[in-house]
Amino acid sequence: MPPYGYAGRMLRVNLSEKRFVNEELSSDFLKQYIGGAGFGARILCQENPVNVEWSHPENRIIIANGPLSNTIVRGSGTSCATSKGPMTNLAGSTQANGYMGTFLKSCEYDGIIIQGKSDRWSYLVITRDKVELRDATHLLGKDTQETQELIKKELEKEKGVSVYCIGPAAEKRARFSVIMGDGSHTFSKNGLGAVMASKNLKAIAVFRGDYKTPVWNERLLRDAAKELHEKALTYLNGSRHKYGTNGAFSNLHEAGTLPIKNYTTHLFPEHEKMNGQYVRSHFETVKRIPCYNCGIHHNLLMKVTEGPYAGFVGEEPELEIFTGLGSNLGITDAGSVFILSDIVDRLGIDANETGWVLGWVMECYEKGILKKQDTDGIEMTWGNVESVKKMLYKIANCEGLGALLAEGVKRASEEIGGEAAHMAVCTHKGSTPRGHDHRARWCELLDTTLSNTSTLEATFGGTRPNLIDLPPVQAQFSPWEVPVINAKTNGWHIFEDCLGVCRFNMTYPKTVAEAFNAATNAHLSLPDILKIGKRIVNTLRLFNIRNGLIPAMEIPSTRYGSAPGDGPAKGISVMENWNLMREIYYREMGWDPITGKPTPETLRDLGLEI
Amino acid sequence: MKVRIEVFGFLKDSTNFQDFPSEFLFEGLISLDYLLNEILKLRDIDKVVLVNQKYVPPNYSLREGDVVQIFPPLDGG
Repeated sequence: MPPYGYAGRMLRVNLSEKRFVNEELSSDFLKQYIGGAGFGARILCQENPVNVEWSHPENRIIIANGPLSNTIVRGSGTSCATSKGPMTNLAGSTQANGYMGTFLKSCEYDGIIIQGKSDRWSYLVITRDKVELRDATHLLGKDTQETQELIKKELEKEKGVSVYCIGPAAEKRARFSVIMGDGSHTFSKNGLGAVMASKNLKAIAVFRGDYKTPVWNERLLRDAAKELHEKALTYLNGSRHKYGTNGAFSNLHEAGTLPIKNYTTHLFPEHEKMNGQYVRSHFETVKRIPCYNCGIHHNLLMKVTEGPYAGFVGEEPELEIFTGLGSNLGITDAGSVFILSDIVDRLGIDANETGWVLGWVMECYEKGILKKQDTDGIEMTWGNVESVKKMLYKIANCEGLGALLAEGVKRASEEIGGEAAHMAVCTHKGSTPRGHDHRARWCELLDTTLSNTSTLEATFGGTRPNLIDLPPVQAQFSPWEVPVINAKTNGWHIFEDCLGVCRFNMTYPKTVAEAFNAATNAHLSLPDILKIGKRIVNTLRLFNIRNGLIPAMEIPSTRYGSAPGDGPAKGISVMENWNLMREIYYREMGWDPITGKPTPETLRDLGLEI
Repeated sequence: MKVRIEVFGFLKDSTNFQDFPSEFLFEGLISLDYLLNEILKLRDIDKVVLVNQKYVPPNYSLREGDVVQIFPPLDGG
């Protein structure tokens, strides 16, 4: 009988040899790495040959669910994709919600390991009884939504199948292309879409099976699931359900964390017509589009009712699309963000990175660093929605200036050089922040820059250490307190990323632990969980160091680390104390304070070999 | 000394804030963190705090006419 919470096996797909093998997972592996991000970290570290490039056939893509997948826990359709990605040439660990995690579990798989390269464009079809590769040459050039529709038509299954695919941008190897599915849920970070394209793999389709996740104590799990659901519904006074994530837009503005025109100002008086409160009360809701078993229902299909794009029907963008493709580009019309979000999704590129690269272009254009002849005749002025649309297609097709921009803002800015090189919002690793101005949010700035996942690792919405029985944050701009709290709490969020549940449904850590223990009979305490999380973080760290990570890469870019010129955080500079903060963080994580390498003692304590 | 308190967003509806006075009168000197933690009992509430629309250190000494703005946790996604 498989262990509680698991199927006890993964599917290994060798595209070069067209071979599909079911591999059993040991109980030690399950206990030490839990699922999702943990599985991905361990397999990537163990199996990727040293210094293999992201586009090499031997670079693994691991997609894994968790022990709460396909259970009564709300929002348990999430999965995690891990690989070596082209933005940083280091690990990328990124989650997508929707249905894939649950459907994979229902086919009796805890995950998939993809290696090799198909000799022709293909898509993978997985059921509980069969795995096959089908021809995908007719899908080339199709956008992510068309691809999903066509595959479902071919499989003669509108519902009961989860399809994740790449879009035209990935086919052209745009570095920040994504893997998108179940509508527009996205494995968005570190360009894993380009990795999938390098394997000639257009899509993965997983049918709903009939395997039931074995649960140790149904009653305890039911109680914990009910409490998690109630807490998720009331979190932030129910704001996510009422206004979507974009309900926070105006708060970000007031607190100085709204990214505006590439971090050049904090003035955005139009914020009240871009926030979730405005959108939800002025645009028309067509229907809610929940993920698997989710009770929050924060995603909506909406109709734009005003502005130049009135009449458009599309998915309501998340907050970070309203920031990245809205305020960061000087765009003040909410309906325009709907249109741009739809284009970005269809092309299959990361909206966060897109916002940073286009914001940088617009500032360069404003300052005369890039002129109209450099931008293929497109006037890249702030707020110019039509220009943004044109440039998005250039990026996806890797043509003209778009070919440079498709490399991501760090590489593009370095190529242009001079003043432009100092204007990019990014880290020296090549990753970029989510759609916030982190200069007023040091915990996330530090996390983004020092993360081993290519996105946030230790934080989400701050650190909230009080929820895991650690002292609360007192001074959010303390160069001593911020790295200490980040390090102490690091491990919790990556553990969450192992479970197969959407973060929005896991707002209360102690109840998350109860749900996990009820499902698996693991009896883990919060300190046990933090230790497992630290093990996973350190596994990714070892991988990254082996692939060239050095402390000089763990620095924010000039613009990302700059002191704001106006707004609530005016004049507050993280760079004054950056080296100290990094050193304190390294030390608190049990790493050498100069090299950032995990010490032998730390590795021993976590059961990791060098 | 009089200090004004403004609560934003969803916190306004939270039970911790419903009885909040909009102005605080006190004598002598008090710091921001003393006001938040000891008087308003907000130590364990997740929040973002500005004074006069600026971030200030926790030991900032409050002055006559200061406006303390308390925001809910800054979400995203």
